Order: sequence, then C-alpha cells, then structure tokens
Amino acid sequence: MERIYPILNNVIPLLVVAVIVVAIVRAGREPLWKEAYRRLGRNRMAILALTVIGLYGLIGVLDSLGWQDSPTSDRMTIIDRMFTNVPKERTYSAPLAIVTTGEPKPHPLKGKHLLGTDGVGTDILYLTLKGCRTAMIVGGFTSLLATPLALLFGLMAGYFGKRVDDAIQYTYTVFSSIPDILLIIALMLVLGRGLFNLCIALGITAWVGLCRLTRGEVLKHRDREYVRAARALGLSNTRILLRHVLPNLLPIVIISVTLGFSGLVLEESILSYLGIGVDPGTGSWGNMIDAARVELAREPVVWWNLASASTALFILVLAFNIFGDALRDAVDPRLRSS
Amino acid sequence: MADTLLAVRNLKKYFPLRKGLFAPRAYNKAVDDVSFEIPKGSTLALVGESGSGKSTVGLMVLDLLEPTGGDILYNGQSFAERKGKDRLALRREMQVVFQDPYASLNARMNVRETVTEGMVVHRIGANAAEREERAAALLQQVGLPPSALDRYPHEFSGGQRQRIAIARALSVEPSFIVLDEPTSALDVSVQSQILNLLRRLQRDKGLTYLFITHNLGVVEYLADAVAVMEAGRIVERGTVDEIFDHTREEYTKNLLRSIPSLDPENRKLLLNAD
Amino acid sequence: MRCETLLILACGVPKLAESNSSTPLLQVENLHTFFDTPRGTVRAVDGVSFTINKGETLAIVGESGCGKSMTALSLLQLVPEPAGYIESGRILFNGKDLLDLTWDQMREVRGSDVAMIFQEPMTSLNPTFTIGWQMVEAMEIHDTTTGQQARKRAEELLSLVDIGNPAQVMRQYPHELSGGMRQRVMIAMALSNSPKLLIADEPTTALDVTVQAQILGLMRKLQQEMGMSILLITHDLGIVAEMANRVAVMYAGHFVEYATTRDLFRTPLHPYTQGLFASLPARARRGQDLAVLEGTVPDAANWPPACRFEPRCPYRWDTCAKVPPKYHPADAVWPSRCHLYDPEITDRPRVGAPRGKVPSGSELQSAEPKAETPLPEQVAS
Repeated sequence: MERIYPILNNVIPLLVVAVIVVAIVRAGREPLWKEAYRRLGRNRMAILALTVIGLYGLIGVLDSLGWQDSPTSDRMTIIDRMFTNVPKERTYSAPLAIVTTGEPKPHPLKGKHLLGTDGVGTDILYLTLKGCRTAMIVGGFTSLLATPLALLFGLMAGYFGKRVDDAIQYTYTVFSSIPDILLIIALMLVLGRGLFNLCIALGITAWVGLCRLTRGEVLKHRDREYVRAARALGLSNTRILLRHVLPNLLPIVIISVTLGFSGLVLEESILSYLGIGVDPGTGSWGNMIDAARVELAREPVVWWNLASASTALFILVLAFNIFGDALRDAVDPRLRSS
Repeated sequence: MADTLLAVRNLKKYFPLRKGLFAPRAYNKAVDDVSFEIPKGSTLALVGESGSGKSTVGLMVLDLLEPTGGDILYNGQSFAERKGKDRLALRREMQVVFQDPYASLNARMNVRETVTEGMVVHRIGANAAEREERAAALLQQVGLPPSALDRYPHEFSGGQRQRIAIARALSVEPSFIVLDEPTSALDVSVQSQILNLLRRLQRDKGLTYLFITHNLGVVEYLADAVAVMEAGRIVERGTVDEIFDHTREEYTKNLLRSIPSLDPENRKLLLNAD
Repeated sequence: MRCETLLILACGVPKLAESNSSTPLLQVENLHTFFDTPRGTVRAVDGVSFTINKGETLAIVGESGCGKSMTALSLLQLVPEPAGYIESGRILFNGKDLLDLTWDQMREVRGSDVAMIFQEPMTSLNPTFTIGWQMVEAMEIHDTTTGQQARKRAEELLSLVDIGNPAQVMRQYPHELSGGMRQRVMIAMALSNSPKLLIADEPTTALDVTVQAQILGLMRKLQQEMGMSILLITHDLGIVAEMANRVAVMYAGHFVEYATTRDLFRTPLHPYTQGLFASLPARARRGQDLAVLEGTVPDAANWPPACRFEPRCPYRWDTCAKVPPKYHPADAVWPSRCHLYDPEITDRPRVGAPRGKVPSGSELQSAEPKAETPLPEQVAS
C-alpha cells in the first residue's frame, strides 16, 4: 500500500491531463464544438488567455510529479528540483537585492532571488510557483465535486418537476440562504484544514448556482419538440436525460464552470488569509497574502510577498474570465449561422 | 368499411389556472369532451385555429400528455389498460411528425443516430450494421441519399429536415402517425414535395394519419374525414365534401369564408371586413 | 425589429412634395442590395425595378430566400448594417430619389410618407410599455400632437382599425393582446401620420386564417378610405389574389414575372410561377400527386450564372444554363424572364412539353415521379 502512493501521486495528475485532452478532442467531432473551436481560434485574446491558463496548469502538473531520491529523503517535485540551486536565506530580502532587509545589520545573500525572499528566507518565486498547483487543484477538484451533484439535481428538478422539483428547490434555497463564508468556516472547523477538505467545503457551497442554471436549461429543453419526439419513440426517461437533454446543457455548464473556476481560486486565497484554508505549509497564494498582514507593518515595508501572490492570482483570474467570455461567445447559438 | 384503428371518447384536458387553497379555482378547458374515430388506412384532419386544442388532442393521442378525463382506444384496447411493456409496444405503433423542422431534431445528433435510436430501443435490427442498412433504406424512401447519415441537422434545409423527421417516425415501423402541422413552416414548393411523400407512404404502407392543421387547402387535398375544433370542442365532423360544400355550422362557414380565393375576379375578403 | 419600428415612426413634419396623378408614387429602378459575408457577396436584391401608383397595391410574391423582404427594407434604407448595403439603383418617391437624401431627411420620410409593418407583431412592439404609451410616443416624435390630443388621436386610430375598446387597449401591454390585435395596433401606429405608402412584410403569416381575413379586409378598407398605396410582401398566392392590383414574382434576387393580378392568375407565363400554382393543394387534385418543383432554392452567395431557375425547371434545355434570359423577351405579353418567350433564341422547344427529367443540379432531391404541370384554371375552384 505504501508503495502505491508515490506511483499514484504521479499517475493521477497525468491521468487528469490525459482525460482533459481526450475530452476536448472528442468534442471536436460534434458540429457545435467544431464551430466553437474555429471561432475561438480566431480570437487572439482567447488564445492568449488559454496559453496563460495552460502555463499555470503546466506548473501545477510539474509541482505534482515528484519522487524520493532515497527511501529516507523527502519527496521532491520537479519544481522543487528546479529550485534546489536557489539557496535559502536568513530572512527577508528585496527582489534582486544583495543583502537582507530589515535586519539591524544586513547580511549578504547567498544567491540571487528574482522576487525576493520571505521571512524564513524562502525564494518568493518558488513559493509563487508552488501556489499554482494549489490554485489549480482548488478550482479543478471542487468543480469535479460540485458539477455532477449540480447536474444530477438540476436534471431531476427540471425534468421531473412537481414534487421532485419542489424538494430540490427547497434544498438549494436553504443552502443559498446561508452565507457561503459561514458555511465554509463551519465545514472547515469540522473537517480541519487541508487542500482536499477545502475542496469539499467549497464544493458544497458551489453546487447551488450551477444547479439553478441547469434546472433552467432543462426546463427550456424539456418541452422542445425533439424531446417529445424522443418520448414518442419510447425512449426511457434516463436515456432522454442522458442522450438528449444533457448534451444540450453541456455548453452552458462548461462555460459556467470555466467562469466559476477563478471564483473558487479567489475564495481559497480569502479563506487561507482568514486562516481556515489550506495548511500553512502548503504553498498557496492565500497563505502568502496572509503572511503579508504582518509584513506590511514592518519597517521597511516588505511588499514583495503580497505583490507576487496578488499578481499571480490576478493574472490567472483575468485569464479565466477572458477565456470564459470568449468561450461563451464562441458557443452561443445565437451567433451560429443556421 | 375498414375497422377503427384509433378511437377517442369524451377526451378532456383541463389545465388549472389559479391554485386555490384545496383545489384550483379556474380551469383552462383546453380539450372539452372530444370524441372521434379513425378507420385504418385513412386520414382524419383535425382542423382549428390556434387555441382550439387540436395540438393538445394530438399529444394525448400520442400518450405524451395525461388526459384529465375520457378514454383513448388503440385497436380496441384502452390506453389505461396497457401497462409497462405493453405501453412501450404501443409507442412503436404510434409515431409523430412535428411542425418545426428546426426544433424537432436534436441538433447534437447526426442523422444516423437520430434515425437508428428508435430501432435500438425497440430492438429492431440485430446489430449496428443492420440498423444502418435499414436507416439508409428509410432515407431513400423519403428521398434523401445515404450520405446524409453522417451529417447534422443544421446542414439541411427545412424540407429536408422534415424528411429526416419522417424517416425517424418510420424507423420503428408504426401503423399510425400523428402529423402536427408538418408543412406549415415550409415553403409552398417544398410543401407539395412533403405532401406527395406522405400520400405515397400512406399508400405503400397502409398508414393511418391524424393530420392536425389549420391549412384548409391541405385538408381538402389530403383528408378522408374532417373534424373541426373550436375552443376545445368538436363543432363539426364529416367528409371533405360534407364540410366544404354543405356545412351548417356558423364557425365552419366563417372559417371557409376566410380562405382567400384564388380568383382575382371573385374576391371574397372585402365582404368580411366587418 | 423593435428599434426599426421606432426608427420608422421617428420623423419630423416636413414632407416630400405631393404627387400629381401622372407620376407614379414610387418608382424603383434597378435596385441592387448586397451583403458581405464570409461565404462571399450575397446579391440579395439583384436588379429589381417596379412602380407603384397612387392608391394601388403591388404584391411581391416569392419563397424564402428570394429577396423580397430585403427589397422592402431597402426602400426605407433599413438594410441590416454593416454587412448589408444598397449597391446601386434609384428609389424615386414622388420623383425624388430617396437614396440621395441625408439620414435626417430619410428619417422624415419614414413613418410619415412611408410606413412599414412587419410579420411578427410581438417583437415589433416593446413589451415593457403599454400600447397607449407607444402610440403617443410615436406621435410625439412625429411632432404632430402631444399629450391629451395625442391620446385622443391614438384612440381614434385604434377604432379606425376596428378595435372595439380603444381606451382599455391603450392601458394594456403587448403580451396581453392576441396576435390579431397586436397587428391591428401595428397598423394603427403605421397609419398615425397618414402615410402615402404602406409596406407590409408578410403581415398575416403569423395569424389564424379568420384573423388574417379581417386584417386584410381592414387594409383594403383603409386603402380605399385614405387613398393609400400598399406594397405587400407575401408568399401566399391567395393573399395576392385578394389584395393586389399588380404582382411581381420574385426568385433568386430578381423578378421573374411582373403582371396584373388578373393576367398572372389567368395565364402565368414563367415556369416558376406555373410551378407555384401547380403545387397548391386543392380538392381538384385529390388522389393525384401534386406537381412538384424539384430541388431547392439556390444558395444566395452563388446564384447560377445563367438562368437562376434552370436547375429546377421542367422545360430547361442547354441554352438555359449558358445564356441568362432577358427580363422582357419579345414574345411575352408582360415581363417573364424565360427563354421560352424569346424569339431570338433559336433552339427553344415547343412550349407545353416539359422535359420530365429529374434535375441533376441539386444534390439532395426527391425521388418522386414527376407529374404534369396543369394549367392554373384547374386550381381556382
């Protein structure tokens, strides 16, 4: 069992990437997506945004693959290895400085640090890159948890209507009446800090919006004539839902998830800042921003920790928003020539 | 006299309008006591204006909408008596072609998938290859080439999409087809192609049609019997000659009077302006 | 369409000079309206000419994609921009070319001299405002009347279009009215400035047949009372018979026949027109196949080089695919764009014997057996 973990840890990220690539390629066979890809291809901003996201994803993957050099040493990821030559300093240092900052007697630095170092001398660039993995996992894994849940309930509520619809609507209305933050705090206190616990907590609050959206779309399609024709053919409800209604919902769902991704990443950083997010040891932009609380009060001000984390966060969120909008425009049937 | 394939008795469909505390206080009586019979191999045209309830009748006949009251008998057996597998078998017998060629096909499925799906459910054709053969044959019957199998609905015109919808309906080998305004959304020249096709299919396969329409020209060309609906009730019933030449109902007379005449020397409409 | 309605009704007081009875009210010469699309230039209206006299109704009849709606929109320069544009031609209204006018001058024409009503009354009316509000606004933009007077005039107009309870309707919203009522409201708004020309684009297609009869009757009545001319765009030959003095049959961007209604219905010359009549379902044809116009309308980005109807024509022969037919050949009593009537075409066959071959031009076609093309006398029953 112990021996499987290291292998799993490396296989899973690759598997995820493979699944995503395969899904994108197979979707391209359908006219809807083929047309959407073509449109996206002509949108330079979208391509740029997608490249940025891909870059972040790549860094995240690189930070997931790793191995132990010897049975007793720590597991080091590829990112870790890229930074082995970057020494740990004593304490803070400004970007590209040669001496430490904030000490009564500045010490010379052992190496060059593009973005400076933090309180314990760790390179900021290194920390920022490690945050990518956290962000990607938060966005991706949470979506993975929330989406099937939302789809299931949305489909049932929209298609079967009446009591089922009422029950599901009451459920998510209750959920959405509790402020997300409070609910997450409560869940985190129960589950404890940690990346995957956070994903679970976020997932439980995130499914509501998507469920509403799904339900609305199902209602739109339920009385369409092609669904009626399918029922007349004798198809079972399950088959109709899965083969007819769901594929017509997917574009909306995918767009919603893409746009929601960045929201989740932001939530993580807020929660880590509040101290109920990921473990302090895990690299995350939220933790870096949290550390900045104290750092900004120092003399001289240590701003580079905050700046790096915020910038990295900002760029990722911006990229997702731009890409999400472009995707929506590319897929929107109103813009399609019929 | 051929025997009756479909019989509808005192069919009702009431939609609740306002929910009172225990029961709705007002109803929209979309269908209010409708009865008719369709002999095997013939065409009954159900005529009426929008809001008359004719489409609702069609949906109930297809078992797509639960009636509030009344009974529907297919081949002498009531719908209510059929359960489970029998109900499914009934679906195979009765198919539908809708009005809107754009909404009646799933845009995400290609023609092959659309036409073979019914076969899969009803276990027609032993394997995929055989189903594909049948699908190609169906397409040929409706006047489309086999190359259409790989294409998607948006690549076809309205008339061609209706042909695909007809092929889908035929794919499960039904005996009875409900046609809900199948040509209203089509151009005149395409309409004639589809009408010819429907006539030919009826002749070759002995199909029975319930043709729902407001287009009286199509009715007088195609129908064996006519039932005129107004506000949920049948106000008149008869053969084409009886209705068009000898009607006594005021509603029907008004309907017939409103059809524009095709003779500029004998215009009708100015008389109707009030 | 909503904003187009407002545009149409937005105008000022000064009107173009009154016509005398000898000048036609509207004279369109060689109109070309094109669209730039990724597939190439679509020649939606490709050389259309016609006249409308005072008090007369001209119908343009054709199927979807023939360009008839674009023709109507071009008259008021409402062609969807930026892709669409009027490439060339003259539109003479009371002798003055509308294409020469500035934007403001054109706005003055719209709604006062020329008004337009559309097919879908629901989207032509703003759903968030009451009927009364919209009608009064239209008049206030026109500058004709304001406030109390405008409301009174609006009520008068509503009764003019046979709406029984104008005061109540004024307070209602579009979605509370039936399709027929909405179309009447549209007509009332269009009439609020006594236009000389009413352009009606498929005004009754979305309506039930009884309501259609009422609306058409109403339009005829108003025409007679106000001396208004009507340009009627439709695909329904029955409406043409009832309403029009003259009719133009449009196919693939240009007219293929142009005659008085009586003449056209008695003896249609062009094979397409004949095909339209022959494909009408009628009691006289019970038990037989309807004559079928094979194939489909050609792609607007790629009109066939010579005769555009050739791929579907039952009479076609070699010349038809090589030489474009003249609009008004010598042997035709009225314009009929077909080589059959051109004495200069030496190899034309005897008229009356359709070829009977299934056209090869269209890829997806019906395998129906072809039927004879009967003469139209058999149709009008």
